[in-house]
Amino acid sequence: MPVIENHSFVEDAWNHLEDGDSAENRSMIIVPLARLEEVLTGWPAGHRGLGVDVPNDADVDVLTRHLARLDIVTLNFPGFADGRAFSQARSIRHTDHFGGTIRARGGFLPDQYGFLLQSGVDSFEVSDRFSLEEWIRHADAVPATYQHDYATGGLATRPFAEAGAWPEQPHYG
Amino acid sequence: MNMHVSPEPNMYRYDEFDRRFVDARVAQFRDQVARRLDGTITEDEFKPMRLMNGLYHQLHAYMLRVAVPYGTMSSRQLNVLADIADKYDRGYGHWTTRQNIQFNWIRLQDAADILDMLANVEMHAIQTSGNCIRNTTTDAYAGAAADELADPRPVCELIRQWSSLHPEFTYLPRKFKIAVTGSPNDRAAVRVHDIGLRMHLNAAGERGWEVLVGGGQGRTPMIAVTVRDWLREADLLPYLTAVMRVYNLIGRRDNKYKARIKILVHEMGAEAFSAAVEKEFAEAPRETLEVDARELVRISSYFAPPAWETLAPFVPEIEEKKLADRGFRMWLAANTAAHKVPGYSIVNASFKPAGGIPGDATSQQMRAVAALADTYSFGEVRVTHAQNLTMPHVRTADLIEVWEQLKQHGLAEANIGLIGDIISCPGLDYCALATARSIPVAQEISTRCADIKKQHDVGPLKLNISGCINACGHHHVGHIGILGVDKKGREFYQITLGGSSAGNASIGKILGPGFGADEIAGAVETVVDTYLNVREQGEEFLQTYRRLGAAPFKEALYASN
Repeated sequence: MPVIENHSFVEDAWNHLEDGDSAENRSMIIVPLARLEEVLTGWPAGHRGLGVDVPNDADVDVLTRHLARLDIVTLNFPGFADGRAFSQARSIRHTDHFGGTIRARGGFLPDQYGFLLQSGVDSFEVSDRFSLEEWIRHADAVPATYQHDYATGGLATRPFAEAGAWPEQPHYG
Repeated sequence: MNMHVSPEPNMYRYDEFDRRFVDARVAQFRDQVARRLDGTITEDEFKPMRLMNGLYHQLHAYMLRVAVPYGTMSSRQLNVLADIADKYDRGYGHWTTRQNIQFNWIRLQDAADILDMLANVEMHAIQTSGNCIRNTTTDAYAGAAADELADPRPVCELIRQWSSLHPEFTYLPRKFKIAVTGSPNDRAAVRVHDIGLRMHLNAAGERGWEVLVGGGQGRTPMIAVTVRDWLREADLLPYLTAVMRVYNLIGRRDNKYKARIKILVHEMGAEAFSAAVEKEFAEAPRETLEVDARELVRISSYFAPPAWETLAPFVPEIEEKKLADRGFRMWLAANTAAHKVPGYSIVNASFKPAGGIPGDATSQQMRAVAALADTYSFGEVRVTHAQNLTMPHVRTADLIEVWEQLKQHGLAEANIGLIGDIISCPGLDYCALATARSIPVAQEISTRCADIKKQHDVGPLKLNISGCINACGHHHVGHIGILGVDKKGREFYQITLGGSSAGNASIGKILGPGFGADEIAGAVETVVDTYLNVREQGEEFLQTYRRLGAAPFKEALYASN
């Protein structure tokens, strides 16, 4: 399937490990979350090229202690209306400071491309239903955001003159 | 040419940033409509997109729900709503229980043009529907009420901005409603919302917020539980973010009817839910504290109190009129409320005429209230959760004039908070989900109870009607609730008693077998007459019910059958 990163189609270097396949002597593989512990046990220290595929009903807290050894996390959209992966991405990227690739897979729509970027997703496995141009133009269809700490890719946030401490009684009584 | 310029009330105003945001959202919606029409996206894909812009497909036409953020609007905005009613609807609109307005006869191809008209006066329909965070509601008397601790609207605006097109929380398991009160006397029904926020002062006089989660109505009515007694105001948005994240991740998505946060709180237990939120709250980085603080200060500056005059608290002319004119006296008692500043009053315009459709407003009535607000209330108007309008800052000395003018427009029915002030959903006359009509039932009850003197004798009584179990008419929290159901092709109406959305909220209990469409108004009358017979001196309906339970009402309604 085509993969979009940095608003371009890129060669997908990753392979999903099939059920029953061994991870031994492999690289650039994405393993199901259920097999992560097992694969990591045999994974040589310092080796890169490992990723995990996370179901959208999984608790991503179980990933936290492994993230340093992973290069990619793939998150799933069974349908575009199921928004759990937005929070999974945000938790992994923002709370756990994951610096690798977060890839979205499944039935999300171009209209969600901007929100996904803002939530921390930076790789998109897409079908050929929509053109690259169609995806890209949705990145900043609404070019301004109220969520300062989610803003990515040049989205405008409200400019402030100066920083300030939290006021004692900021509104009128 | 008469170039009337409305006064600009002290309320939030868009800056260049807000304007850019709303304009871009309108353009995006225009693009989404075009892609639906050319087949690029399917109807299933388009549906949530239009819903997130307040556009429903109802029984006969599209319905557009326009946000009135926390119920506050200017007369200038109200006049534009009247223009939309004339140009794109049938000359009227409908105030909703969440302080919004609905237009029931909209054409899809006009929707984006209407949104442009709204954007010109700093209004929109963003997130008035769909599985996202909806319009934040609050006390209609905010900034004016004698009993409030502080004006809650700056916090509501902070929440409005935080929740607008939130990248993480726009595809939730189900819709999400937040209500805020700055008064100990809850007029915002915070205990029957997904999140309710109640302002408290601590011993040092600092403001903080009690956080209630998991209230709601619908098929499974529940009273919210307090998950935090006291939250520093500075922690409000990070805490709300934590609640939303827990809900988005583990709220049920397997069954639409079990997807609201109340079910999650109920199934997990309040303690476990609260622990999950606290963990999330503790772990998430806090980068926006200063931004939120600056923003709250900036927002608050818009809500400075209006230029109140120093006035005498009592106006002899008003006192004399009260003695001389029973109609005025009753209007004053029911339709006005105590203002925090001496010499001012809060005035309600009743959109509940006897025999009328609760909450329907003609364009003429909208313009009339706008003109009155210009002259008497600093150009400011509120939409109430009971589907009426409020002018928050009227000089007590002007009350006779305001009353006379409201009467001319059919807006002075002296029934606010009384049995005639019925809250009703649109029911089967408009709604695709309804199983029974509610408007004709409301009309018949309000016709039968038209005697204002008797209404005042009965006293405070909330009557709520829903046309199906989704409970948009909030029948669960009516002192008297009516639920319309379909039974083998016939409409039946169940009565519940004892509900309340006030501070000591409760869910009403079903009284017994339902009544036919031709019997229900008579049954309500029987309930009211029973109350009059058994009440003690000075006892309100709800107090009588809580003291005696359902027995005397059951006896009166069912014993003879």
